[in-house]
Amino acid sequence: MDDNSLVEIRGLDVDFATDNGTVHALRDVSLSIGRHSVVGLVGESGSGKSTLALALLGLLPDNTEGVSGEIAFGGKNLLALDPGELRRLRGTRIAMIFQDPMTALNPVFTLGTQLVDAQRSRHPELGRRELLARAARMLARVGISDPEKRLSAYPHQFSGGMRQRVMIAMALLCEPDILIADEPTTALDVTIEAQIVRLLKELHAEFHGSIVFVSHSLGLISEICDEVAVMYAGKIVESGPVESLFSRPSHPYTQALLACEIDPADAPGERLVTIPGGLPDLVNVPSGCIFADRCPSRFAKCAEEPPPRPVAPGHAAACWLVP
Amino acid sequence: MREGLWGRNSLARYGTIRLATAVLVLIGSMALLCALTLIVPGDPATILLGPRATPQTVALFREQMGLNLPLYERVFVFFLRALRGDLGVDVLTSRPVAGLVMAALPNTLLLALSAIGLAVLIGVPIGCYAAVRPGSLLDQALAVLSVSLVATPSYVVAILLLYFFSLKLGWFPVLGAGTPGNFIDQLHHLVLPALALAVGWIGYIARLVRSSLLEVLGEPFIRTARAYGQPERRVVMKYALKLACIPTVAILGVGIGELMGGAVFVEIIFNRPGLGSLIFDAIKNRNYPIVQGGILVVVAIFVLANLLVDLSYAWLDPRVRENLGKARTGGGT
Amino acid sequence: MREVLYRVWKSPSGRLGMIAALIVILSGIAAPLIASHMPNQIDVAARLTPPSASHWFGTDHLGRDLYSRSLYGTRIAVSVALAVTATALVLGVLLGVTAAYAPPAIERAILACFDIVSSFPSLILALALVAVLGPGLLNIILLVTVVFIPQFGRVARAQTLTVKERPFLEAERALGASGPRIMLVHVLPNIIGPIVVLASMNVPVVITLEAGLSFLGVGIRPPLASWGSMLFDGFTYLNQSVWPVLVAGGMLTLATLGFTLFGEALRDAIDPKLRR
Repeated sequence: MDDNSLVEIRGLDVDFATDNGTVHALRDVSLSIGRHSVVGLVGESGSGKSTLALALLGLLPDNTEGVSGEIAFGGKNLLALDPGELRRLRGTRIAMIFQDPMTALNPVFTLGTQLVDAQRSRHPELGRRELLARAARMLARVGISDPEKRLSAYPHQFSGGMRQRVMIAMALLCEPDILIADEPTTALDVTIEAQIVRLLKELHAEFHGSIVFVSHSLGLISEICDEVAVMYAGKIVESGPVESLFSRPSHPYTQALLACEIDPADAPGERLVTIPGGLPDLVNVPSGCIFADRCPSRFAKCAEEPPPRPVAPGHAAACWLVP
Repeated sequence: MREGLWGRNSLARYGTIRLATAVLVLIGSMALLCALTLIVPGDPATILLGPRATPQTVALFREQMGLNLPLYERVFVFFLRALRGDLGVDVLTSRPVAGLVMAALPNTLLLALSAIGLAVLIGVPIGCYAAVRPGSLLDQALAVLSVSLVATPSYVVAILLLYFFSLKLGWFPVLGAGTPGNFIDQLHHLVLPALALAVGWIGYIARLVRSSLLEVLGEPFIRTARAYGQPERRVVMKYALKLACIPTVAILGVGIGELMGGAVFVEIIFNRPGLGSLIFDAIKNRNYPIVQGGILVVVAIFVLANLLVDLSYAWLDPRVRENLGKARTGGGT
Repeated sequence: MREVLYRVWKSPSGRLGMIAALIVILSGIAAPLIASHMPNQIDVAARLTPPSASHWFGTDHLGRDLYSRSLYGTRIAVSVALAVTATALVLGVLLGVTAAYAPPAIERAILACFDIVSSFPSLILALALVAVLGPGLLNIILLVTVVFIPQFGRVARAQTLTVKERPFLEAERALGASGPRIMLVHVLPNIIGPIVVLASMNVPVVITLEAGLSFLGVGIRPPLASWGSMLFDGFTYLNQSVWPVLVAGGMLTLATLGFTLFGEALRDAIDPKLRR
């Protein structure tokens, strides 16, 4: 195991039970999260990126049918821990920011109460007053004015952007080793989005942990992440350092994603690029390369599933086209 | 966002406005009570006095009830007198109605509050357990029993309880409220009546708590609480339960009204003193001032109870405090 | 409509409710045909007997056959419930829709009336009204109707308001659709669902209220047989025979349980979002 990596995910499989059968949401996913780095997970809806985030936290939904593989963290396999041990890790060493700030906070408790309770696992020795003081300081740090007064207010009195800042504050108060941000800006306006991302970058420079940043936007990923993993239909198709991946995108899906991004330099009237076809059926998973159906460059060998093949140091893509 | 005691989101402001509304409604109900005499088929004084109608009593009755005055003046007089504590005098013995009513009131309140207390103390834990262990034996039993218990009228339940536990088994006394001053004896006499009133509500509350709790436990903010390592007990008992109790609190307001209605039956069946039997006897004896005064007090309590329920509702759910325009739906939320 | 009934039939509790309610209704209709005795036939020699071959449910304190009396009591219960619910529904919907369309002053007046009537617990209001009107079948129907008008009125108003605000109605008006047409084609269909649910949930309450008033002696008067008065008679002689109480109480429970289960299943079938 690489000494510089905080979390090593190896061969993760996650299945969900649904009315249509068993959905194989994640298949043989392997990923390394380094210390003090920002790792991005990018992909379209249904790619499995949120599932991966939830698996790290141990909060997979109730209809999860099977989980196998290994998530190595702090010398233990997270998948093998019992619920009590897993619960002790949450809010102390792993924290998560959810996608929709409008529903992530309890409407009938003040911010102060919720921020205090979130810290109890991390600082059981501190009393309510100290925890409130820490919360106020953190609220100021994330850019919320008049923090003491805000602590006695209720979530419905805040805008979406402010609520997301509160969620970030809540996560940082736990001083986690890993902060998972699951599409933290998807539900926000674009202008607010920019502010939140800038805030995350500043905060990451200050604190010691790693961030896992889940998004469907390559633009955001390029702004904030050091490493990125591109996911498609439950598999990681390409991963590596951001500069390398963006300058030498090697998997056809990554190339397509980049082509889809709207370029302000394009002349108006140019057609938007799309990827033809749709997501494969995850109940009856086709054999071979998962992207083959939609890939413009597919050939005979694609009937066999490609392993990750090195493109550059630390940068690999699961495609037979890579030499 | 103005803060402080009188801010938009403050409980005090909400409470004051609701209090003013409640007073207005109470005055309206006084008007309704006064207006009732207008729908009597025939001369109100003569009809309402019935066999006791002699020219003198009719004239006296008209004078006391203010039947010679126009309606709005009558309501005004009624209101002023009520503020002073004067609810008129009864037709039979000229005793002040207010005195009779106030003597009977504590018994009915005791009955109603015991019933609510029983219903909440038994119903809420059962509902919690059923929500946390859905599909268990208790949960299934609850689903079946709650509907049948709610549907059965309270007087049927009262009579059956009386028959089995008093007449047949002799565990509980049949009649009365017990010897005054003897607390244990009074408690003994209270059990069956309170149970009769509470039985339907236990099932209803348990089911309501169960479904609210299940719904709340699926909400995103519960996932947030779990994501921060909160122990499951705190997640359910604090974060989920507070929100889940809100529908239960809402129905308690309406429930008190029905409870006071049910108290009439229970007091008559178990021969207990109280506002219910007082009003009922007055109707039978054509003692209209007592009917009017007694009903006014019942309505006042109902309005007050609803006000308290609204306040608790606003205390539990801060989002409500800003929506002052919404009228309370008294007929089932 | 048919689909809704089908869904009610599919759920076990709904099916039970439908069957119970149908038994009640049909036995009431068929009372003269299936009764074994005349309901008011007095036979003092056979008073307070338990069920037997000649008296299937036993007899009351005057020797009257309990089975026959309970069948005729069904007629009272069902017809009162129907009359009250129908009248309260029509009047309530009229007032509610009017309130939604009327100028604010009138709307507030109507709502104030609703609030005032609702500030009385239902039995207490009924007692107040019976104190001035006197008992009797017609009076009971009248005064119980008054108790239930505000509920229908509020639901009708709320539903009308939600439809009124919808943008497509503005489009229709811009195209020249007239007021009555809008009301008929758009508003009414929207109201029907919740109103029907409310009506079915109210039927057992009406039955209970009427029986309660009759129990207290201020409801239906003899010679008409109400379950409530049967219950009171039985209660008076409870230490001599439990059967009158069991029969009257049993019929009441069957009717209220049946209609309640049916009403809940109906509610679940009409709007799954309301499902609890």
